[in-house]
Amino acid sequence: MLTRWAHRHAQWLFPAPAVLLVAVLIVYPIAYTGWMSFQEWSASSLSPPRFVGAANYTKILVGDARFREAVGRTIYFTLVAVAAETLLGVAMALLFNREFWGRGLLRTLAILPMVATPTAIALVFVMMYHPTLGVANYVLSVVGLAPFRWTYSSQTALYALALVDIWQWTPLIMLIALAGLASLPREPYEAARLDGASPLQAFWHITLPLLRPALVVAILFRAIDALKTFDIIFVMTQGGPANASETINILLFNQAFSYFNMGYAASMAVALFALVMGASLLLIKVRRSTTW
Amino acid sequence: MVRGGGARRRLLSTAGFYALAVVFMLPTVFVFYWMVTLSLKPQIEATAYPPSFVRFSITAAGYREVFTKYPFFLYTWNSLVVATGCTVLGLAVGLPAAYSIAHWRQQRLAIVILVARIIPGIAYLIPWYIFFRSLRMVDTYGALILSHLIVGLPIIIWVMISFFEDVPADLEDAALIDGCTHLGVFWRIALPLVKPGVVATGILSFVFSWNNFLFSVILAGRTTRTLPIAVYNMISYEEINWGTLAAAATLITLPVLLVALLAQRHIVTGLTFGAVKQ
Amino acid sequence: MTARRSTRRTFLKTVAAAAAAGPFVSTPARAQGFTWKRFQGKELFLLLTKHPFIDVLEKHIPEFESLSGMKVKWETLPEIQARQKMTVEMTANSGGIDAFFTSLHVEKKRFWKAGWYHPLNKFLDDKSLTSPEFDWNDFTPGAKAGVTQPDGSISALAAFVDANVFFYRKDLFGPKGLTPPKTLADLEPLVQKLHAPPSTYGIVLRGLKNANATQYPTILFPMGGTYLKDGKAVLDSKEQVAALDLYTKLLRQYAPPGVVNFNWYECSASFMQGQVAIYMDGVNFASQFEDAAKSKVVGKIGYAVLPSGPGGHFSPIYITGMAVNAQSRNKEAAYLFTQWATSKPNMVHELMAGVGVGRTSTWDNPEVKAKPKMPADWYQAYQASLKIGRQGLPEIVGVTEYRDIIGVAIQKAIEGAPPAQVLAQAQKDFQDLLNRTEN
Repeated sequence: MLTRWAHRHAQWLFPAPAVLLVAVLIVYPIAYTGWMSFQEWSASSLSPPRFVGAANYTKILVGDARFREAVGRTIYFTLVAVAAETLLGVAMALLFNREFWGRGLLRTLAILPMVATPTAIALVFVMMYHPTLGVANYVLSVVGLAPFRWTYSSQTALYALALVDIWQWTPLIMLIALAGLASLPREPYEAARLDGASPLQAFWHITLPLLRPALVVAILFRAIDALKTFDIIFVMTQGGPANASETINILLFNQAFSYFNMGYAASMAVALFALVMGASLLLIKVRRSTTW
Repeated sequence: MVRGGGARRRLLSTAGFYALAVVFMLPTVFVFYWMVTLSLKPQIEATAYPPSFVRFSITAAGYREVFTKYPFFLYTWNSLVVATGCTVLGLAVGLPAAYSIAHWRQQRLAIVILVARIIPGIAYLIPWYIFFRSLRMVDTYGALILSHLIVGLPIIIWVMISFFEDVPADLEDAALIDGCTHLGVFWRIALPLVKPGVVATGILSFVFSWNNFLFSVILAGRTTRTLPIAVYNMISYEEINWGTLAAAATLITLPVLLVALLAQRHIVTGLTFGAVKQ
Repeated sequence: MTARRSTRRTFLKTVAAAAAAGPFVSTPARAQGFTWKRFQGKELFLLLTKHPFIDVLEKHIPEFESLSGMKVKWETLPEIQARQKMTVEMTANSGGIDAFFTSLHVEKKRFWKAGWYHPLNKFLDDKSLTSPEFDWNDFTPGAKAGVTQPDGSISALAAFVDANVFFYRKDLFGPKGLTPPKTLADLEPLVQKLHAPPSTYGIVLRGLKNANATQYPTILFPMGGTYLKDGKAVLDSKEQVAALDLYTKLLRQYAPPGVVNFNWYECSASFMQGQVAIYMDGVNFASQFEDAAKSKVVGKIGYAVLPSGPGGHFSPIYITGMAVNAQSRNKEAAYLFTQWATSKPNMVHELMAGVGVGRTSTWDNPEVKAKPKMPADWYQAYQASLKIGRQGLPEIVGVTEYRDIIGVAIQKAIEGAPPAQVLAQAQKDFQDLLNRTEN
């Protein structure tokens, strides 16, 4: 009896544990954050949270220049990092898509940055970026370039941070693109060659569209993580110099744990969530239009 | 003559290829090389300028300091327990879910699971603390495992969906006609076919849990604290000891790097199969 | 005087006797109604911050355990994480923390207004709770003021008092016949004479936002500037503009590249690598400078009081203390720990390890004088600075936010923006902050 019932409802029973677990873990945080975003509270144990309606959201949307800048920076950081990773990753995949001595070694090396602990990697970059004692500027001076300020100037900090992300995640795109290239059918290329298409045209019109579904998922996960980047920025610049590398996540952390604006921080968390969710849905839509 | 020129061209292009390969891969190698050499240098040489790349005196002082000042073995053990627990639990609930999503095309569920990953981690901190505190679970492995699951589970599910989608539907249908239950099909037919995926996502989930630090500050206590916190603790007061810092960074990264080296084939399939389907 | 000198020995004897004989022996302390053993068997949980004071304290916690018969568990986190943990605990109203280490220069008013500090006044007056040897009046006036709120409630017991001083390289000053500056006006010409990049930069001061806010008053106070006047922000005063101009000009022209993002550890690193001639910062960093494993300039450093200026002679001081959590269920027991941590014997341990404290008797302690860990001019500069000490940051609720506001202004000015302009913005932001949080 029970087995038959279970069999008939398998499509709900199978995902049930995972869905329940996720629900238990996220429902309370969502409810708490949502509720808190309508309150004003400085974490005081003497005065309870005070309902302020949509005031926090109004402030986010129109009043707070610092938040607006953080949004722009977050998006810019994500675009720079993910675009560079995609371009470099695909370029490397095209280069390495052949039989050569050391292929296994290459694959091994490629996964190392991805699995390395971000906190530890950030620390190493802090030491390398040091403007006078760091090895990065030494290398630049050896090849005859002027020293760079890396994370030590508001003009370059965001890029220097993006570089860490790029260092860590370009190999992922490369591996995914490599796997995609390996599984591509041969026929379209032969047909294209007979039609007299240049390699560039073949790449643009055949390779790229075929790679797209694979790349889109990779980019989706990369974009989600890049929008939420916290570890490396927190370790390396804490949002500085001035506020030059303050992303939403960093500002949100400060609002909650440095300024104790609990309600305001909660509304920022909601805004960040909306931003990431929007980006994700967009990418999922792109993917669905190609497969599924 | 013509053939000789072709050979030279091939040689040149091979040389060019390897030169390019080195240029591309050098930064990857160098960062790790630098981390390890810094960890072996005495403090004064670690911050010397110009830095020495090959010739420097070697000391274990950094490592000694890490081990004497911090309960590093305890932290390592905690990290192991939490990452293993998170992976086992993640696979136990994630695999059936992924199978179901792939088999019955439940794309909405997939998106619900993704939401867990989209919520900014900081937003979890206070509510989770209140939640786990009321269950008397703060400073237990249970709370850490559950919190890390939020990072690991979406990856397991999303990667495994693609694996399960590749299981031929005919096989499953035939088994069902033979009177097999869905559970039987999942357990005896689908699961053996996706074994590489299970290993791959298992390793990934382990690595992500190992690397996670945000939740441990709040949910762990002195006895359950995990490794990344150890590094984090050193930043604020010891940033000046580059040798010690690098030693800590090396010690934390080493286990995951070893796992990656041993299981690299699985990691690559895990990372790519999730995205690449034919 | 004799009694005071033998304090530590008496203390240790008391410990030994109490430990050996158990609760039935009447110790001198017990005779007066006070006993460390009053909460024997209880367990305390402390939230501590990574800090030189705590490094020393941790080593002696077992002594407190045998003295009091209590079990002490504690957790030591970096400041930011400690505050994060504290916030979460207090928000959840968990009562899990009994006593905590608190940076009063940041948290004093915020935690007080939030009701997180348990006021200690009654405990201090209670002879059954406060050891006769504790002696509240032994704390320096600055240390006492630093832990006392506007309503007179005492929020913590002062543990560590940091003061900003002037570090300089004697080996660079000597040959040129230079001496530490008496006034601010002497500072820039002096720095200029020493500036010979890239081998030697004239000066280094913190540039990183928030961190720089504790060093800025080193210039601002003698310039005659302040933060608040009758409760209103005065970040755009002409003294402020002059101070910011000098602070950032020094860094822009005479400091190592990248100084805009230097926290104290980058500053210290460049100083210890011998790259910098002058460095002004918290006096307690000096113990690293004199450590041959870390520093290339051991024995070459001179210590002096900060220069004075038209506004007077000051040293910005920062007080850190031990507080009892208002949510604790063991407040009295936690107070015993707090009291022990700031007791005379413990302060002697601290100062002997080179950690500066806010008790007068400690500085005169013969043990400390007999085994100086630091050069003589370090003790002189430190003590003299405490005498001209002035709270380095405004005593407001939003200290961290203020530090970010002025911090960003400083960074912008270092990178070339006109001081008057960035201060006008800072003034506006600061006044907004005051309107929001002070009432």
